[in-house]
Amino acid sequence: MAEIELKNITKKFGDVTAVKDLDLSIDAKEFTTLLGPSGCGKSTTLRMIAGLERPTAGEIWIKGECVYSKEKNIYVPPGKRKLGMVFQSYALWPHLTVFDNIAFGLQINNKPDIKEKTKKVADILAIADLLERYPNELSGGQQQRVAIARVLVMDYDILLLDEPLSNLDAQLRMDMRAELKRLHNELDSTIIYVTHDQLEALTMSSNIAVMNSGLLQQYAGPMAVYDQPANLFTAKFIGNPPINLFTAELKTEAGTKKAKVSENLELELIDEKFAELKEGAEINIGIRPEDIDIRPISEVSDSKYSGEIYSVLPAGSEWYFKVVWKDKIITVSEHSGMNLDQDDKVAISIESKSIKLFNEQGILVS
Amino acid sequence: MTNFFSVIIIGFLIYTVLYPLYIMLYETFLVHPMERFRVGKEIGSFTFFHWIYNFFSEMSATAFYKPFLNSLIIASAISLLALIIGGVLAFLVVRTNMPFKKLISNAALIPYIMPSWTLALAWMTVFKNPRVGGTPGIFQSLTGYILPNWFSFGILPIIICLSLHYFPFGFMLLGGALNRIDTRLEESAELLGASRATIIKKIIIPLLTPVIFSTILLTFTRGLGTFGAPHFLGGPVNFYVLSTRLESSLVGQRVGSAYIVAFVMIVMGILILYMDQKVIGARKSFVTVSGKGGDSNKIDLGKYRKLIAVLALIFVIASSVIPISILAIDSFMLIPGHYELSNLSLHNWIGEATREYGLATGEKGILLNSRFQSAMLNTLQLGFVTAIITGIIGILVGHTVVRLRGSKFANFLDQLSFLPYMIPSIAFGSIILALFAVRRGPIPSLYGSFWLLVVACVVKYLPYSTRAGIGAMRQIGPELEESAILFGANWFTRMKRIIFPLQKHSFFSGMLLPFISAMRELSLVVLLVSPGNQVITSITVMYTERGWYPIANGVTTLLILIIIMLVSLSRFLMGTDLSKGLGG
Repeated sequence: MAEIELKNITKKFGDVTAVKDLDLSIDAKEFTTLLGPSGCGKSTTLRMIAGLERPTAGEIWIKGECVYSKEKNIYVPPGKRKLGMVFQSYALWPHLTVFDNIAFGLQINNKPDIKEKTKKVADILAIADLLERYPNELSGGQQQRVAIARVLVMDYDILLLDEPLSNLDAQLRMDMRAELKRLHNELDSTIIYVTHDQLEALTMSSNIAVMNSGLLQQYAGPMAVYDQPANLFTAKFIGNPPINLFTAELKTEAGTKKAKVSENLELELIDEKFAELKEGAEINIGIRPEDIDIRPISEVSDSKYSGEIYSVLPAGSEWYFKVVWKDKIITVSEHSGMNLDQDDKVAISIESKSIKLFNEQGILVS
Repeated sequence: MTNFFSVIIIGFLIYTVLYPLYIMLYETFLVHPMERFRVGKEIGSFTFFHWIYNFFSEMSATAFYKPFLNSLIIASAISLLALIIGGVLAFLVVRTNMPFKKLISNAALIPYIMPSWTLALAWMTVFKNPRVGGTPGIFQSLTGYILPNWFSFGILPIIICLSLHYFPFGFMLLGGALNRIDTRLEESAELLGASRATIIKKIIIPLLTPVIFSTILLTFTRGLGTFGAPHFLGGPVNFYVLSTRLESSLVGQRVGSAYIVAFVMIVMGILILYMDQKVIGARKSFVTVSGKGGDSNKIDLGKYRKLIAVLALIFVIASSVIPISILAIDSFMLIPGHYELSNLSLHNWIGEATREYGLATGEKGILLNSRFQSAMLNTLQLGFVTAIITGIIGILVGHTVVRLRGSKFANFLDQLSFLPYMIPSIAFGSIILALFAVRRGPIPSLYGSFWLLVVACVVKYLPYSTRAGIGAMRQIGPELEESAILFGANWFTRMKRIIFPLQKHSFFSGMLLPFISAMRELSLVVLLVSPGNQVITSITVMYTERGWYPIANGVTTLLILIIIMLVSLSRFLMGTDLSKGLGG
């Protein structure tokens, strides 16, 4: 049974629809990420699960209990849903010490052993020596830990995290990703994580729900989202550097299916999955930068395609190239620079299987 | 829960602000007891008499047009002067390297803490001529020269006294705005080669335009509603403005005519609020909170910096310390008007009742006088009760307005709670009088009761605390409360453990202005006090009307000292900031 279930959730703010007809089923102990650009409705969705916003329509079920239903007029307030939430701004109470911040939930709910529990959680998060301090005396990373401790101390097994890492610097963010992932495994809890950072989503999640303009685009594991983006939006949103996308027309020549990108640029589509596409269909072709291979033209004897280096962008462990290919500029990622320079001629090869094809509705053909 | 309180507050404001407006308007068409013979109709019957009397009769000039014109002239003059004086001082303090800044900016706030008519009393004490009868002023007493009426009384001294009272208002508003201007805006102009003068003309003044207009409009309304100074300085020469005309009409039992004057004042106040919001409101966001500039942005006054500081200091002292000293000195004069060392005496303060010498009032000295003591007690009570109630409502309103931002409910509450600010004080007093003069349904007549003053002061000064509350709540992100909600904290727990502790400073700051205002208020309460329920300010009026100037001056001095002491104490104990919570 799903731990958290959203059924046909719609949320409107006045005339603006933030979330539309969202169905989402989240299993227990999963690390689920809501991913999308700002304004896609991901934070609103999280806040509706928490009970801070009330959906305009639909139902929310947590652990088999209906906590919200517009139709049945059910609304369980946030405090009764027994879930913890970490805010983007951390929302630490500036007038309370770290100890009081962490102990707040226990205090107002009259729980026993407040001191022991608070200390224990502080130990886990390595903030035990900061308990007497005030939030403004802490670094960003420490504040973050306090915000997490404040939620963990309550022993809730559902945690909602709203862009918790976005205020940290790059190094710290990397460390915290690893820690959050470990914490998730140790606590055996269900985590719902909101972010606009695809790398965060890919590295941490068991499942990613990609959202755009209030609509769920794809709900799958991180590798599936990357390798089989369900539609054009997901393909474009996930991947850095972004996927190469061309609009093309489908045609058959001498029994081979081809995608005509422009007058003098045609790609062969050998894969069987393209067999059923209609002649003349307006399609989109997507190729990830790492699925394109370039070599100096001198090293390759028979290249099907060729182009010219537009610019070279070394990025440490990887090299990115912008390559002029007929009348398009494509992005290519390689593991070495191959001594290539601006305006050098290169041979281009593409693994046919890696070509992603989106039909006229922008849906992946697979 | 917040909504629950807000609905109650809205209901309260509708009853105390909107409903009385309707009652007042209605009363202007009725025949009142003492008007029966003038109108020639039965009491309570419908009539246009008052409107015709005020606007279209031979009496209209005295009853309405002249006071109206006087009010316009005075309000315009003082709002301009307050702007210029306050603006120059603010500029010197914020943007130059003038020394003694702290001292000057603290002293510049004193005139605002004093009752507005203190300066009028001081003016009379010094420049009085024999016109009012009784004793001469200090000036005449020392020089023997009899000052002309136009200098001793009337429009000139009224404008001077009120401008000196209201300039701190411009000083605080403009100073705050100058402080908040993003210095990078100026720095980028400087990098483009703009001179200081060009930057002031092309950048600073345009950025300040909204605040400048707000200052003018807000001072204008307050000038319109002020009663004390025109009463003291205009009365002796039959110089009337709308506020004094309103009072004399009510005293003279011309209720209909009085309410029309009040109504005109309120309409003007609302028009000004409308102008402020429509014309300027959209541009208010110009001045944004951001990084403060370093010393590089301070203008170097060079060798004149000391001279300018001394001049500024002399000015602020002349408008605060000197008037208070004059009043204080006058209160030690045994025989009024004889300004000699040999005439100094503590009789007015601790003397026994006598008809033999001094003022021969037959009353005990100020400190021993039970009439004074009970008035002082009333004043203090009024200040504290008003402050506490407005403070609490301020936080609740701020909470609702900010949390429900954008909703119609929040906007309505926001505007309704600000409306009393724009209703001239004395007109608002007459509103409250109209409302509580008789029993209405379950609500008893409060006339003659201390609570009538409390209701009037709470509603009238609510805008201070709600502005402070809204401003403070904007600084607190909703997450701070939401995370408490997630732990199951209910409304009271959140208020007690999160909102109130976080807002402590703004809460007390928001209470400070209502406190000061209630204690020094005359215009608002002058119509509402009854013989059994005097406050210090109304007792002062009573004493001056009897010509007991030394006593009136002594009482006023004491009131000012007590207010200054309490304000300093609250600043010391709770870190309150007077400039918070001002409109604009």
